[in-house]
Amino acid sequence: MERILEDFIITLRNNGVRISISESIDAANVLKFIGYSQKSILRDSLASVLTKSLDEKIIFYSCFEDFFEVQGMAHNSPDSKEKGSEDKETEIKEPKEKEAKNNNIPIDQKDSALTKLLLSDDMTSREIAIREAARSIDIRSIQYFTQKGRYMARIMNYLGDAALFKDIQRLLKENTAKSTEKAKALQVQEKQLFGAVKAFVEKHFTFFASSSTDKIIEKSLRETSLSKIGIQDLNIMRKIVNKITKRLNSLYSRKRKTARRGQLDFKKTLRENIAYQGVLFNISWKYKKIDRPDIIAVCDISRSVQSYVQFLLLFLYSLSESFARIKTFIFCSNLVEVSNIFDNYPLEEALKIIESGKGLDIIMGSTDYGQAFQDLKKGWLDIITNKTFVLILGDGRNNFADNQSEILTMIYKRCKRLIWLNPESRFLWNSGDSEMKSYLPSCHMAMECNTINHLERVADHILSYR
Amino acid sequence: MKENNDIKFQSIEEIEQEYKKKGYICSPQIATNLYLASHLEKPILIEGPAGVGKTELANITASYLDSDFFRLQCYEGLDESKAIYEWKYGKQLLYTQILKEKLNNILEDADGLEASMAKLHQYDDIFFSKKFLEPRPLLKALLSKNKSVLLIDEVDKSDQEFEAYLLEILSDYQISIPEIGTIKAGYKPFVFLTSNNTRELSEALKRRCLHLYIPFPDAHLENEIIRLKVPGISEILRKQLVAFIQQARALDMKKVPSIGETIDWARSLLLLHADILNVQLVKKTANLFLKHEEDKAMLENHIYDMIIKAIRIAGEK
Repeated sequence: MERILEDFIITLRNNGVRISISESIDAANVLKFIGYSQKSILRDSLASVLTKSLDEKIIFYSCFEDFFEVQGMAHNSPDSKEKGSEDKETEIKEPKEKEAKNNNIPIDQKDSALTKLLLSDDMTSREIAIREAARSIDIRSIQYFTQKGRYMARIMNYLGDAALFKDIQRLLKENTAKSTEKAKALQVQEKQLFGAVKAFVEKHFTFFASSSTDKIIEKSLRETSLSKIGIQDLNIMRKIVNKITKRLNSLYSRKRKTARRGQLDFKKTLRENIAYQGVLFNISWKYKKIDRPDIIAVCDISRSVQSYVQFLLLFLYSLSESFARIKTFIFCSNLVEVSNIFDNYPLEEALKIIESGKGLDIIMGSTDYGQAFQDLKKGWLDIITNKTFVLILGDGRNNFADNQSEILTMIYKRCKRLIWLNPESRFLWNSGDSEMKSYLPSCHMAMECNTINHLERVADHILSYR
Repeated sequence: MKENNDIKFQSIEEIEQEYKKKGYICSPQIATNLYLASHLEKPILIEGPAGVGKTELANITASYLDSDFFRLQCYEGLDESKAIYEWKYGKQLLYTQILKEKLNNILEDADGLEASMAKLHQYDDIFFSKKFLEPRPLLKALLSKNKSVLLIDEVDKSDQEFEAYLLEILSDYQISIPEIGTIKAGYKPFVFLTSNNTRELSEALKRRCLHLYIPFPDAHLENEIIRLKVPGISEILRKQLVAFIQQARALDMKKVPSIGETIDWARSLLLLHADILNVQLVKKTANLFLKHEEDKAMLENHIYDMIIKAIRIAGEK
C-alpha cells in the first residue's frame, strides 16, 4: 500500500501540488491511524496533510478520484486488492475452471499461462496481471509520449505474448474446427488485452509523465526568442512568468531595513545601553521599512521591438510586490506615459491597450530615441532620483536622427542604475543605424534581452542590487 | 489531562456528535482534521472566508477538552515581546539599584578587582532569569499545567518575521529564549491557526500544520446549523431563509453574508414573529446580513426572483 501512496504523491507532484518529504511521512502516519476502509475519510485525511491551499485541494480531489479509480480502489477495499495481487501467479496459471467452461472453449495442458488467462474470461485477474506487469517494468519511469508504445510492448512481453503467439500458431497448424475456433477466439482476446494495456499505459502516462513533457516545453520556451513565441504558447509563457515572479517576490520582498524613526524599541534600547549604565546612547526603533526600488521603464514599441515589450511589462508588473513604484513610458516617434493604464485596467487588458496604441497620444512614425529622451527630460526628469532604476528596452536603432546621448548621461548621473535591455544580439549592436556605441558609456549595464531567461536575470539583478 | 484527551478524541463520529452537543456542526472534513490533529499532535491551519466559524472551532475545542484557552490575535507589527515573552524591565531596573546599594556589603572584604569579580560570580545572575520573565500567550500555553488550546488568530496579518518565531513552537512545542535556554511544553497544546488569506503564508509554516479549508456551508449543513442555534424558528421559514441566503452568496457581492449573520437574521425573524419570507420583510431586515449599500441595491434587483425560488426550494424538501 505504501507503494500506492508513493505513486499517488508522485501523481500529485506532477500535477503541480508541492509535497515535501515531511508531508509524505505525515501521510504515511495518517494512513496508520485512518486505515483504508472508508474512502471519504481516507480522502479528507490525505487532503489535510498533503495540500496546503484551496487550489491544491481542488487538484487533489480530482487526482484522488482518477488515481484510485485506476488503482481499483473506487469500489473495492484496497486490502482485498493487495491480497488479490499476491495471488496473481496462481490466478494466471490456474484460472477458474467454471469460468473457462462458460466460454465453451476447453483449456489444454499445453496452453501458456496467458492463453489460459484469456480463455478464463476473468477480467479481475486480467487487470491484476496487467498492473503487476506494469509494476515490474516500472511504469513510473515513463517520461515522454514517444515511450508509450515501448511500455505497451514491454507489458505485453511480460504477460507472455510470445507464448500466446506460439499457441495461436500451433492451433492454426492443427487445422481442426475446434483448434481454429480456439485460435480465432484467442486472437480476439489478444486484441482486447492489447486495448486494455494501451488504456492502462495512457492513463499512467497522464499521471506520471505529463509534467515531464510540460517541463521540456517550459525549458525550450524559456530559451526561445520572445519575438518567435506564438499565440498558442502565450498562456504557458504567462504561467512561466508567474512562477518566476512568485519565486523572486518571495525571495526579495522580505528585504527590510531599519528605519531611523518610528516606535521606540524599549527592550532593544535597554539591552544595548546596559553597558552605559542605562544611559541611552544607542536608540533602537521598532519600525522597519521594506526596502523596495522604484522602477522607470522606457519601452520602444516600434514594430521591431514590440513583441518583447509586452513580456518585459508582464514581468515587471507581476513583480510589483517587490517594487515600490513602477512608472512606464512607451515611445516611437514621441514618448508618452502609460502608468495610468496599468493602474486602471487589469494587467492583461492594459498590455492589449498598449499593444494596439489606441487612445494613447503616440505617433507611430519612425523611431526617434533622441526625441523620446528629450520628452522624458522635459516632463519627468525630477522623478528620477538616486533610488530609481531606469530600464530602457529598445534596439537603439535611431534612423540616423540626433541620438541626444547627453540626456541619457544626465539620467545616468541622477538614477541609481540605468539598465539597457537590447533584444538584438550583441554582434549587431553597432551595425547600421544602431546608436548603442553612443549610449553604452551612459549605462550601468547593457545586456542582450530576448528570452524569458534573460528577463529573469534582469529582475534578479535589480532586486539583488538595491 | 493527557488521558482525558485520549478518551476525548476516540473516533470521527464521536467528535461530530460531541461538537454538535456543544453547538457546533462539524462537517466530516472538520471532524477528520480534529481527529488527526489530536492523534498526530499537529497544529491545524484553518483557512476560509470570514464568518464560517474558524475561531469558533477553537473555542468549542477548548470547551470540549475542558481546558485553558489562550488566544493570540495577530496584527502587523506583532513581535515576540507581545506574543511570546517580555522582561519585567521595571523590576530589572529596581534589581540593579538594589544590587548597587548592596554591592559594598557583598564586596567589603575583597581585595582588588580580581577578588571582587570572583566574589561577585558566586552570586546567581538573576537579571535575566525566569523571575523577571513575563509570559505572553504562546509561552503561557507551553507552560500550562494541563493540555491547553492555543488559537493564533489571523496569522496572515502578522509580519513574515513573526512566522519564523512560530516555526519552533509549532514543530517542537518549545521556545528558545537566548538568555535562559529552551523552554519545552509539559503538555503539548492543541494549536489552531486561522488565516483569511490576505497574504500567502510561508511554505515552512504550512508544512508544519494540517490544512483545513472551511467553505461556506451547503444548504443542508446551514439548515442544521440554524436548527441548532435558533431552535424556535419554524421549519418552513428556516428552509426559505437558508435557500435565500444561499442565493445571496452566489451574487457578486462586496461582502458575502456569513453564517453568523444568517443566525442573526433567523433570530430577528423569530423575534418579529414571521412565518414565511416576503419582499417587505426581507427589505426591512436585509441590513442584518448585508453591510454595504451597493450589496443592498444589488439584492433589491433580484429580490422577487430570489424569494420565489427560496419558497419553491423550501416547498420541495
